[in-house]
Amino acid sequence: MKTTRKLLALLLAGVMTASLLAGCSSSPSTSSSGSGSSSGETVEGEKIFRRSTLQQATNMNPHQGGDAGSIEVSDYVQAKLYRVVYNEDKTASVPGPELAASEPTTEDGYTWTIKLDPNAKWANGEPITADDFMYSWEMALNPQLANTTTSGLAKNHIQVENAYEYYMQLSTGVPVEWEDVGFKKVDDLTLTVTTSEKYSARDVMYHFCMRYTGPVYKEMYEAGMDANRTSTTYGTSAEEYMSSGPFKLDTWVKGTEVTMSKNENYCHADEIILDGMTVRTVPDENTQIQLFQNGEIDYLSLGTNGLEVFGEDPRTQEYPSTTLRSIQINTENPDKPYLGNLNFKKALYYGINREELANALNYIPAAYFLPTPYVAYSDGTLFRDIPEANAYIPENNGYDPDLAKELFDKALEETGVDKVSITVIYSETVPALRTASEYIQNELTQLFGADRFELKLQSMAQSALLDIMRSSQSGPTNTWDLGWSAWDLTAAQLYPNRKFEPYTSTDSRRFAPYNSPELDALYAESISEECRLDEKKRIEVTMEMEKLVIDNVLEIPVYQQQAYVIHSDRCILPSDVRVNTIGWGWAYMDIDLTK
Amino acid sequence: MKKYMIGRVIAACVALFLILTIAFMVVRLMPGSVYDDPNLAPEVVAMLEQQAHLDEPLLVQYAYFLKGVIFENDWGVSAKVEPGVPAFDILKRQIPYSLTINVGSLALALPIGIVAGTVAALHKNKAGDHVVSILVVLGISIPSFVFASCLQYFIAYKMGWFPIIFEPSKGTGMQIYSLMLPTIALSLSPIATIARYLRGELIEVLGSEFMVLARTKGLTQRQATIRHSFRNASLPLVNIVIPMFAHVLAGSMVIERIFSIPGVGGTLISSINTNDYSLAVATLIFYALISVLTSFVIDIVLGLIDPRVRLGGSSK
Repeated sequence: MKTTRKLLALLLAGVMTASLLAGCSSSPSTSSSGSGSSSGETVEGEKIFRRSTLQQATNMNPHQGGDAGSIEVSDYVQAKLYRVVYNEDKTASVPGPELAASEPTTEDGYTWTIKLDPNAKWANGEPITADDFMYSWEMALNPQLANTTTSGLAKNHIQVENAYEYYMQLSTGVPVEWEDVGFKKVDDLTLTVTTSEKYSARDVMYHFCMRYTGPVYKEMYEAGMDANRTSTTYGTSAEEYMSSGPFKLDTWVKGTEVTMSKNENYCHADEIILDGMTVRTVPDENTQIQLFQNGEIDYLSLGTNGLEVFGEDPRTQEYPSTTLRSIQINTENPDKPYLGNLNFKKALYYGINREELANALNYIPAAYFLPTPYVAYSDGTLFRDIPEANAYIPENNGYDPDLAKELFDKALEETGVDKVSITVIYSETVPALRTASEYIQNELTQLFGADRFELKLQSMAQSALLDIMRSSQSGPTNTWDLGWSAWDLTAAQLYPNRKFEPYTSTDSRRFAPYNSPELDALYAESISEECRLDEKKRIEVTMEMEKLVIDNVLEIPVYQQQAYVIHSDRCILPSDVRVNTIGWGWAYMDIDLTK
Repeated sequence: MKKYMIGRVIAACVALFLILTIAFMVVRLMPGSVYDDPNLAPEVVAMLEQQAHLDEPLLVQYAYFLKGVIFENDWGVSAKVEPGVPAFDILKRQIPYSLTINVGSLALALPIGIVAGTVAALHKNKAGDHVVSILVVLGISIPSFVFASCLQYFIAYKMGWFPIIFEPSKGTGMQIYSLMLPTIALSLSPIATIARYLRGELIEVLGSEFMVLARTKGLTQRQATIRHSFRNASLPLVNIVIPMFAHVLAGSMVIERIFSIPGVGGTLISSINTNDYSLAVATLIFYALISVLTSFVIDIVLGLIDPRVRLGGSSK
C-alpha cells in the first residue's frame, strides 16, 4: 500500500512537472529569414510570404480545378490577357492589361483586337505568342475533353461567336468547326475575338481576366494527353505545369504544401517585391492557430476558435463576404397554401430581428438581396454604396414586429387556417445556420404565439438539401416548406444583375418556384445590348429587380457573412483595405524581415 | 490446409465483390451531382454528365465501372477532389502516408503493450498493476484525436520538440520525425488494448496447473513465465492485433487532419462530401480491402496455429 502511494505520488509529480514545463516554456520562436530594414537595421534574406489554407490545390490546369484551393494558387502562377489591378487610391479594382499590351480595341463593337505584350514570357523564358492562346482556347473548348470550367470562355462576360456551340456540339449533335469560332490569330502578337453581340471594352477585359482564359504550355499539355485525347495530366504536378504569372510553381506536395518563387520572366516582374510564397494545406483550424502563434505562417483566416484567440488583437481585420444567407419559400406546397400568401411571406420577412441575430453570429444583418462587395460601375463603385440602391430597403434592417403580426393575422384570415406549422431545413455543415434557425424559431414563435405558429428545424447534408428544394422544379411538392440557401455567383461580383439569373422562371438552378414574369422581363432587359453598353442603365434595372424581390418576398434575406483575418507583423500590405476581386494584394506585398 | 486456404480466398473475393457493388450503388445514389456548381449553366452540367455516362441507368454505369476496373485497372478519374487525376493514382500517392503512421503505431504498440501487460500480470494487485490499469483506462477511454491534440499542443507547440504538422519538403529524416507525434497518438489505444488483454490472459495462465508443475521442476518465476505462460497467453493476441490494423486505420482519419498528413482519410471525407463518385468508391474499396485482408490473414494464421479451425468444416 505504501509503495502504491509512493508510485502514485511520483506519477502525479511527473504530470505536474510536465505541465509546468509546457506552460513555462519559452515563447514560441519566430523564424525570419530574409531581408528588410527597420530603424536603420538591415537584414538579409528571402522575403517569403507563408500562409495556410483549409483546402488543397487540386489542379493547376486552367481548364480544370475551379475549386477555391486551386484558384488561390493559380492566381499567382497563371497569367491571363488582363488582370484586375488597384485604382489610384488602392480602394477599388479596375481591369488592366497583363499579357496584353493594351486595352482591347474595336471598330464595330463585335470584333476586338488584342495586342500581346512583346515581353510576355513563360517562366522558362520562351515567349508567349498568339499561337499559345489559340491552342489553349481550342483545348479549353474541345468537346472531347469536356473541361468542367471552360464553358465560361465561350460565354460569360462576353459571348464569343460560335464558341459555345463548338463546346456543346457533342450534346447538341450540331457539328461546329474550330475555324468558325470567333478566335483568330492575326500575327504572332495579335489576336482577334469576334463576339456574337456588342460589348464594352470593360466586358472584354473582365472576360479575359478569368483563370480559364489563360494560356497553357502546349508541349506539356500534349505530353499529358491520354491515348483517346479525352484528358490530360497537365497541371496535376509541378513538373507538368509551366507558370506564366508573377510567381512560378517550384514544388507541390499534393494535399500539403505548395512553394512558389518570383518569376523573373513575368512581364510585370518589376511590380513584385516578394521572393516567394509558401501555401500549406492545414485543414484543422486549431492547428492553423498554433502555426500562426508559432510564427510559421503569416496569415490566418479566423473561424470561431480563431476569433476567440485573436478577436481583441489590433491586427485582426474584417471584411464582408459575398455569401448572403437567405431563406427560400416553397410557395407551391399543396399542403400549405399559406406559404404562397404574400402577407405570410412578408410577415416572416418583417418578423426577423436581423441585427440581433447578426450580432450573435458576428455577421452583417441583410434585409437586401445583393451583398455589399458587389461592384456596380467601372470606377469600382460598389452597388450598396449607391444611395438609390438603399432607398427601397426597409428600415431597421427589415425588422418591424408590429407590422409582422398584422401581416400574419391577415394571412391566416386570407388562407382560412388557425395555426401554421412549418419546417425549415438547413445544411448540417454550416454551424451558424443551426444557431440562426434556432434564433428565428424562438423569435417567430414568441411573436406570433405558440398556439398559432410552429417552426420545426431539420438539418441535412447540403446535397440532400439541394435535391429536396430543387424537386419543386418538377411541379408542386410538399417535401419542404422553408430552406436556407446561399448563392455565390462569381460573375455577379462585377455584374450584380447576373445574380438574378437563377431566379428566372426557367433556370434549373433555382431553389424555389419563383415564377415571376416581371423578374424574367427585367432580367432579360438587364442583359440586353442597351444595358450592356450603358452600365448606369444596367444598374437601374438591377435595382428594380432587387426591389421586386424584396417587395414580393421571393426569398427572405437574413444575414451576410463577415470574414475575419489576421496578418503577422512581418506583412506590409499594398492597401489598408481588402479590395474585392484583388483580395489583400499579396502578389504586390512586402515582408519586413526585422520582425 | 490447401483446401482451407482456397476456401478463404474465394470467400474474400466474394466479400470484396459484394462490397464493391454496394459501395458503387450507395455512392451513386447519394443526392446531388458531382457537377453541381451555380457557375455552370444547366445545359453544361447535362453535357458533362452525359460525357461521364452519369445520365445512363445505374446498372449501365455499373457495367462501365466494372469493365474499367477488371479489364483496364481503371477506377475512374476524380472529378472534384483532384480533377482529371485517376483515382488510383491519388490513392497510390496517399496510401504510404496512412500506412506509415498506422504500421508505425502498431509497431510501437506491440512491445509497449506486451511489456505493460506482463508487468501488470506479474504484479497483480500491486503498484505496478495499478499504474498500468490506470493508464489502460485512460488509453481506452481517451479518443486518439484528443490525445493527438494534447501532444500537438504541449509537445510540439509549447515545448517545440516536434514540428506542429507534417513537414513534406525538408527531407526524409524530417518527414519521419514529423510523423512521430501522430504515430504516438495513434498507438495509445492499441497499447492499452494489448496490455489489458495480455494481463488477463497471463493472470489466467499463471494460475494454471502446468505453471505449478514448471515451478516444481525448479524453474524460476521469470523462466516459467517467459517459457510457458507468456507463450500460451500470446497466441490469442493474434485475434486482436491483426484486426487492430483495420481499426486503427479508420481512426487515423482525424489524426491525419490534425497533423495535415496527406493520407487516405481526408480523401474519403472530401470525396463523399463533393460527390466525387470514382474517388469515393476507390477509397471505400481500399478500406474494405484492408478489412478483408486482415480477416483473411486471421483465418490463415488461426488455421496454421490451431488445426481444429481448418478442419472444423470438413469433419462432418
